[in-house]
Amino acid sequence: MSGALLTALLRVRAAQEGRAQRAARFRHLHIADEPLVVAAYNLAGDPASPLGIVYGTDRERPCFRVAPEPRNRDIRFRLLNTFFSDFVAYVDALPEGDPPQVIAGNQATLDYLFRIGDSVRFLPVGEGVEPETVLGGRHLVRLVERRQRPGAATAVALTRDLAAHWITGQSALEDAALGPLLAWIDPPEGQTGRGAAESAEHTGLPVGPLPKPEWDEKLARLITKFNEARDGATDPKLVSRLGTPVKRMVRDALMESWDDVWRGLDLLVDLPEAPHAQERWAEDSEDWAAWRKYIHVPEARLARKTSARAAVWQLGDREQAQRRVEAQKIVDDPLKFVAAVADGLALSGLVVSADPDRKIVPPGRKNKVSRPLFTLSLERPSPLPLHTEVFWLDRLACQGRIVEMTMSPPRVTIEIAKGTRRTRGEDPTFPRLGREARFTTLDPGQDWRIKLPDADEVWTHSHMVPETQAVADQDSDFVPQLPDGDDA
Amino acid sequence: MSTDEFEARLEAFRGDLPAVRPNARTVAAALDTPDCRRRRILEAASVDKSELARHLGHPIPAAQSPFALRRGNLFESAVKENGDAHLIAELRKQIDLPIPATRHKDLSSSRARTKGLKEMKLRAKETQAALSLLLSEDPYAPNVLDHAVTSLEVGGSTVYLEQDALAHYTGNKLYVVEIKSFPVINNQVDPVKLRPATRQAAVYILSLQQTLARMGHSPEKVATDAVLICPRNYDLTPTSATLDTRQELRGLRRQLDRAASVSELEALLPQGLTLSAADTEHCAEAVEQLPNAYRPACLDSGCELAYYCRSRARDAGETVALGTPVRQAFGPVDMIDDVLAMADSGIAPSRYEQDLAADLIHMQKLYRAAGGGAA
Amino acid sequence: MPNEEAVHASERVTLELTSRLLKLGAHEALIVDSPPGAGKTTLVTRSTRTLVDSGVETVPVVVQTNEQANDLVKRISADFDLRVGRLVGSSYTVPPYLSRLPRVQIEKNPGDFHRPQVVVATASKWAFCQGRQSYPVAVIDEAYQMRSDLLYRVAPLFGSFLAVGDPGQLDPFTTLDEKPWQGQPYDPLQTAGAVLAENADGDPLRLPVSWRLPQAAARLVQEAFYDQAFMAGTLPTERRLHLDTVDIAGWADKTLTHAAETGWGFCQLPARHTPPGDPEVAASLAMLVRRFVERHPWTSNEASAGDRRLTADRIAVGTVQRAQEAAVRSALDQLAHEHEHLACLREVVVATANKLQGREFDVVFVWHPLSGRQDATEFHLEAGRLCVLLSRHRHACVVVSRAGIRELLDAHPNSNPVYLNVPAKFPDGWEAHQQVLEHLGGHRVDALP
Repeated sequence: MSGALLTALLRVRAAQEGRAQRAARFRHLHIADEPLVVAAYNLAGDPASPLGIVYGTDRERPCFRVAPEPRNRDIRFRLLNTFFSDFVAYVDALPEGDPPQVIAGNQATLDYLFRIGDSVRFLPVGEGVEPETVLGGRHLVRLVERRQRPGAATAVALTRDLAAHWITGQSALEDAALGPLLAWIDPPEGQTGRGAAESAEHTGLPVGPLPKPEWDEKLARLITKFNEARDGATDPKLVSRLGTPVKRMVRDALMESWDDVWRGLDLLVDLPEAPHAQERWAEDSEDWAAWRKYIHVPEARLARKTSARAAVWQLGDREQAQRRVEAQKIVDDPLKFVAAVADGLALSGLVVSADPDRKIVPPGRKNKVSRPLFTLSLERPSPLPLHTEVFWLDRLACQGRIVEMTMSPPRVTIEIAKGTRRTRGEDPTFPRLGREARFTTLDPGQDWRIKLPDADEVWTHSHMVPETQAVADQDSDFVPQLPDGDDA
Repeated sequence: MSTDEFEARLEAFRGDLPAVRPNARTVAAALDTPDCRRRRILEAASVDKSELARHLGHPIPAAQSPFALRRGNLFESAVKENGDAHLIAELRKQIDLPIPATRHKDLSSSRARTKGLKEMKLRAKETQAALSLLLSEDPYAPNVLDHAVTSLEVGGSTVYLEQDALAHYTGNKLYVVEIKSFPVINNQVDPVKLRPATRQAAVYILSLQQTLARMGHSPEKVATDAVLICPRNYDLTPTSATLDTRQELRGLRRQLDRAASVSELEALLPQGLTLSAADTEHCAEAVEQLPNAYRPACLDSGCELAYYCRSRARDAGETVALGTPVRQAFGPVDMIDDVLAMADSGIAPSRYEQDLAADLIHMQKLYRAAGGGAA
Repeated sequence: MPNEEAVHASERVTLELTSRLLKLGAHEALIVDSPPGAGKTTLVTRSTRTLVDSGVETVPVVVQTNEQANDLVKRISADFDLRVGRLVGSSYTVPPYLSRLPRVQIEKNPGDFHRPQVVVATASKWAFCQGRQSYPVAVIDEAYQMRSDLLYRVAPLFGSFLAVGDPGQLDPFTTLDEKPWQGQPYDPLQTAGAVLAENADGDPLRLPVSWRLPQAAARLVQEAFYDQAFMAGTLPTERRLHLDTVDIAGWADKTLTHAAETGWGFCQLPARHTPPGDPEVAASLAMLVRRFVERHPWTSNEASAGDRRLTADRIAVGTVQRAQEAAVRSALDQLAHEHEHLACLREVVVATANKLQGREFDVVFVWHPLSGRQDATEFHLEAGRLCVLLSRHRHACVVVSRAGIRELLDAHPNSNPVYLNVPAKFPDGWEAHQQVLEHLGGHRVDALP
């Protein structure tokens, strides 16, 4: 939403130049020292039948696991158990205070990982389900869900995050595919963004979770052969031997995804980190620490559904987080500031008159209060109308209002009403005469957390009580029958 | 020009390209890009658009994976096995009426040995006959119609649609039942999948209403609530939900009324124009004579010409190729070169764009000063 | 003589409302759906009186903005001799006139009032007062503009609710992605009115009359934006708008003459795709307002004995984007600056639909939300937005637009996301726009600037 006009112009510029244009000078996302990169393919049509997953913290040492017939429960769980065992080991090995960070090529892969985690997190342990699988599923769901909070970095969808830092010469819809997106940001020597992107679309496979139908056609033949050969057996050695052709095909494809994801990650890492990104990561750490503590308590109960109280809390928390991230981005990054100016959400000018010590008696009050006054000379008439509330970018706590405006020469006068007191033993700072000052209308929001009332006091929402349980939902009469490969 | 003459003209237009039958899914999808005359004409002529796209040098990848297809078939059989045990169970949950035993009528192939439009018309007649029997409350008449062919008036011409949903008759009402294999997980269905399903059901319901009306029955006999049956969570256990199609129906009716009439389409179809499978250039020339309305959403709309039209839009330097919000941002200036000329010079093509041009040149200046540019 | 049928219908509902209000038990809610100009504020103020008379010690009123709170305090203070408390946030500066009202006390904490009979505050302020006080019954004003997460935060304070609101106006929204809460037992983006309706016994009560809208408008607004019927409180003959017959400016005067007669006007400019601040539409709106003022408008209606001059502050221009608001404001101010007799144009209200919600004028000029656009987004198609713009007026509404809207609507069918077991949002904005366009077609004048 923010930066619409600038984005539109940059797309046009990128299309003409054949290269993506920068939308940011800094990286607004913290990248961990050793994040976990994951790429996966699912069997089309099924919600959670993983064909193969490639994962690891080291580009040179990918871990690749395949399920040559993921519709078979034994074979599928062998993959899931191994993956989750490694995943839990990764999580447990992290230093105290560091949350996990999962890097996926696109949002669809994160959604897929969520589904995988969701499909196992309420299963009873035993009968082929390992305890780490259930625990890993819970962790994975938690990490991906956290992503819904603006500014969170525990799960990264490269397409989304790269597109926040570069504007390509194709449409936003087309930016959702990692291959073409990388082609625009970093086209091979001698190629234009368009040429490289069309080539990636045509010859390359998607980064995940679904491959292409024509690739599936070939795979289907191999899987049929595999099923015929094993004839219902699921012995691991047999499966591994007979499943080699499938394994090779899936691995070749996923290795391309692996390379693409690391390539995308490199592009992000190359950017200097924005100061506030670290602050937001600290919030992620705090949240993860609380989760770790909670999940290991034996009586921990998890909700399958979001209760009314949780929903209200999430909405408030996330809106607050969004306001803060938007404001922090334009404080940290000059290009984001330009986008805000283009949208009429910010202005900058030279301070031509400054009165930081001004005190007046406001209407309806009796005592004098501090109301510093500053006049800025602008390059163009202010896009912000009179009486707009504005925040000073150098110190967001400093808040005021536009009290006067002239068209020519273009000027605004801002009266500060908040952030005028000494804090922590220091005098407040203000815009200085002769210097540039930048203001925004984006309200970073206060940092209070309103305590929510207890759920049982809220009679208006009492009819929306979800079930919390730690075991699988067994309320259906129909026992799930998963078809075992091609048996039609 | 009469409808028959126009139909003949469309057949001639199709040339030697293979024909394909329109079904509810394609009609519903086409209504998502209602301003594209090119699509309308090609579909009216039953052109196999994926073949056409291949001839034009921009093939569209196959849409459905064999795994997804198989799962869909498996799920459908599971729902229908043991005398529609699950189907009936789910219907009971959604329709507050006694659900009698089901008697299927499979209308997927006609008795006659014809193809193309003739076959569709024949199957439509057979469907009507089955409907007639069903509505007569004959206790032995089939009460579930499978793969029916219904018709719809689109812009004054009749389109025949093959339905993959079921029509189920109970308690004096005809219910459309869609069996889809996308899952309901934690009470949520991917809206990207649910929207087309609702629209398809609406198209079916509307065509049933029209058919019933033509047969002299009350269109009210067709329920506007469709039943959706899909797998729940991660296995193939069926679950169901009701789809309220009233809003879709209202929108569809208006759209169909406003759809380009036969005479409009006919005016757009130059005399003697044919698509020829052999000559790519000639094919492209012919297609280019049909006005289109490309936007990136076409890539998701199921139209097989999407890549071709996109390529033309990109070659021409149209801003719409970059997204409709980009086109919207620059008013009538809809070519990439013209936008950049405006942004670089600050000169507006007319007084309406003066403010915009001034904004653009200023914004560009700020952007460059702040370190912006190519990656 | 006002519309007899309207008066009777209105009285019937008022009686039923009072009766149900007095029977309201613990943890119950009585919802009242109020179409535009149905006398919501009167209903709210009278209900506080009714409740106090029935023995309730203090009646809290929950409103959405500080302006609404101040207006309500002013009304209650003027209409009834009740002790009113105005509860304010710590950083809010109360307008001076409020402190001068008799029997009104202004405080930051509810405990600091001296036995108030009514306490008015915004929902956000009430949310801060958790656990300190508890009231058996409260009144919520604008329940459909209040998001239900705010309801969650204030519910423990109040034992039961009378909730009043207009379901056809703009919904509360969020800039976040709404998907995570679909399919969950509770969607916090729902309105307070909708959630309370789930608690209520039976259907909401519906005020049957719009006292504001003239009959010519009530029919269209009701059909396009509301699922339940309501009628105009006045007969067509009662509301009269008179203009000087001088006719010098062609299309503008023709439109105004027609609007004075029929209650509707529609000026269509040649089709063109323009950026949001279309200078020609702005100029056309300014021209219409100018000619209107120059033709010395006066009104006669059922309320006033005799005729009344229509002053500039009773005129509004409604837009949907800030750029449009700025363009019209600047055009009007320019005219006011250049011509002495048009100095009053500075008092004409120019605002976006968001800011016009809840307000009333004699004549409203509207910048059509889809004018000049190539792309019809959810924002521009939203029914509530159009409803607000077309339901602010007592006498006439004139819409200005470029041609091409029909084609735009045709090219952009309904694309609202569909969620399982969530009823489709009514009214559908696309459908409402079609209906409005059809209606306006009958009043069209081609503007040739």
